[in-house]
Amino acid sequence: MEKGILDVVGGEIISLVTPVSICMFLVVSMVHILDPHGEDKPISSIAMMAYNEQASDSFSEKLGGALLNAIVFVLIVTVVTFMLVALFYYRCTRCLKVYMGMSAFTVLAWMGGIVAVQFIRLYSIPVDVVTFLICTINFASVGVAAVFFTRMPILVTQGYLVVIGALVAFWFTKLPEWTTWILLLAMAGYDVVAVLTPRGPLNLLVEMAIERDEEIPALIYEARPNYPSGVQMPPPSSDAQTTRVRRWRRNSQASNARPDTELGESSRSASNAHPETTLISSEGDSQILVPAVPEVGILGSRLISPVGEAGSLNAVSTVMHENQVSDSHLDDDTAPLVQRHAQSSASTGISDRVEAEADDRSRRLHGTSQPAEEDNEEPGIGTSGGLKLGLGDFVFYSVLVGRAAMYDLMTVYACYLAIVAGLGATLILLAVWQRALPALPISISFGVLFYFLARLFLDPFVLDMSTSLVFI
Amino acid sequence: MGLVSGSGYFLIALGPAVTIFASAIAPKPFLILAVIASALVWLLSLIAASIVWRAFLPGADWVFLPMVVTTVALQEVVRVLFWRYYLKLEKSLNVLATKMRKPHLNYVDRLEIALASGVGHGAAHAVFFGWSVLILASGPATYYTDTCKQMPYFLVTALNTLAFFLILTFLMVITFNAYTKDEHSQQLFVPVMHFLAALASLVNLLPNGCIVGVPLVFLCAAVTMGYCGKIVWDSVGSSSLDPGDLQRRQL
Repeated sequence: MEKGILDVVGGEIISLVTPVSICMFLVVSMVHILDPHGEDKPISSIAMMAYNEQASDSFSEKLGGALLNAIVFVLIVTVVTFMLVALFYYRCTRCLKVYMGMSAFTVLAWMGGIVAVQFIRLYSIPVDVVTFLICTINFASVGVAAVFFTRMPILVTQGYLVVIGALVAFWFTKLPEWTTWILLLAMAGYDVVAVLTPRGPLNLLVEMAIERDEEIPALIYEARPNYPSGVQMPPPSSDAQTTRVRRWRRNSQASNARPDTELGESSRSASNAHPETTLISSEGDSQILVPAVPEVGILGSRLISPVGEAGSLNAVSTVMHENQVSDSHLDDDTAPLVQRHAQSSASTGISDRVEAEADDRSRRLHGTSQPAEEDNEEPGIGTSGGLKLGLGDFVFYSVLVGRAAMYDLMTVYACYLAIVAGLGATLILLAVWQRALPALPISISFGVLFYFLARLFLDPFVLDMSTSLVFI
Repeated sequence: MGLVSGSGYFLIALGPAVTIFASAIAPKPFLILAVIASALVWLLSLIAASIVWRAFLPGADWVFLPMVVTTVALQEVVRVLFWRYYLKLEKSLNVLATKMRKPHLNYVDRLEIALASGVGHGAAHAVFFGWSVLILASGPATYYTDTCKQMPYFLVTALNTLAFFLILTFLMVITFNAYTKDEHSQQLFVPVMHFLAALASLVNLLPNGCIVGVPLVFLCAAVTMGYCGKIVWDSVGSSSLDPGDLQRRQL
């Protein structure tokens, strides 16, 4: 039976919503099992440098202290992001990669290890120290390799990214309540500024990456498309890349003339139902879709900076770098494909290729790395397919939901729906504005709003009814 | 008890929901989006109702009657608005379908979207009214209310959640069909059934009310499902089961 439009529309959005949901689910489960009321003593971290919240403080003290914490945190994140931009500017990519690898290892081994120990203690699982150490270190090493260095089955990479996001988010939920909420709002604000202002660090990073056509060092979750049979991603090797390039070129030349047909037949295309602007994201080789303005977002620059002492880890965000597989290499005379728009951490990780509407957009092509020159190099920013969402977005969404879990399941669900709605709204804006957008502000504001609405109004209303066995 | 009872209650309350989701909805991404959107719309209507009624809670038992009536009325109004908005969305989808050289949405597609919207509504209801309470059942011990000494509170909640999930899901399918075919009797059936079900649950407030209340709600669910099944069968099932025939069935 011919596939109808219901099978096709929304596929890419769902491919992002699913990992976000899984990450939130992991965090909510961890919170619910290990720390359901937020009673764990908060670890000291950068986010609490200015003020250590006590339950006995007054309302204004808590609010003022939380604001101070948030400001300090945002300042530190800004400074670190600028450092990252500087490193990228001076092409210290090796340095960045090593640093990010170390950060990911720390998250997986140390934070993951602590969570595992808590589970072991709670359920009295019999396991000895040596086995535990071996397992943890192996788990972390494979994770680092999967995310940064080697190419593994996409599910493994995606799984590890989700786990890293969940662990970091779980750690953030240890912050005191007021600080958490104000921090979330502050980060959403920072995101807007960093991505949308011309001198914002994320914007700078993105522009540099586009200019140089290099990969942005960022932790990005990429939802790989399903490639149609015959266009498999070959194993990573320079030979394979060349093969892929050639295969792509043949396809592209064939499809160059009629991009619309390709789009129509692509089973991977998905679009937002927007009559004027058909936004089609399609992966792989046969599409030539170019937005007039390259949408590149960078994964939010949040760097994991482990604090030296006894392991208290600070918050985080990583700019992680994901190996992009180049699936299009183009000559000068073949239409370059635009790809990926890496998303800013704040930006929606939607890398869309937008179908160029004949009347309102001009095709702009981005050259990608030439196969001859760059066989051994990483492909540039424009070259991979699939939607991307910055891991920082995962983290902060999950923090919000995790914090909501400390109150009640109703707030969790309300916040979940709000965040997904915010993500959807951001995608629509992306289709309309055609530029890198922060993904945090809308979702976080909706999330915070719904949390307080649910907590203050919905919860008593529904509980009152359900405890009396009245249903509507 | 504990984990066993928690999982048991989960399966009672949400088993059919998970099954319907996995079999009919998960394969098509757009339907998953419809579930989420519908859940959000329902949540907003519930929040609106709760803001209005928050001041009166916790209150005497009689407060429940106007509360239930007004909240259900609000939901029915939102349902009609949802339908209107859906028509606009369908136009956009059809424009998109033309661009992508795919067939326009037909009647069966519309019913699928209706099912997805209903599942969104029902699942949101199930989570808020049912699962947020049932999760406590995975702890030790159980709980009985004064008015219902016959069954554990969690069991009554699980059963009611199941019944309401079924009612809300299939009422949405009936709604879409009713407004598509402009059948007034069906259009009337939907709010009436919703009110009946909600009022039936009010019976639970009386001492030993749950003995009557729970079967009544299940009766409503059975009637809803039967009616929905009959409507859909008459519209779709009576023709040949050739998929091509179904595809061609235009709105």
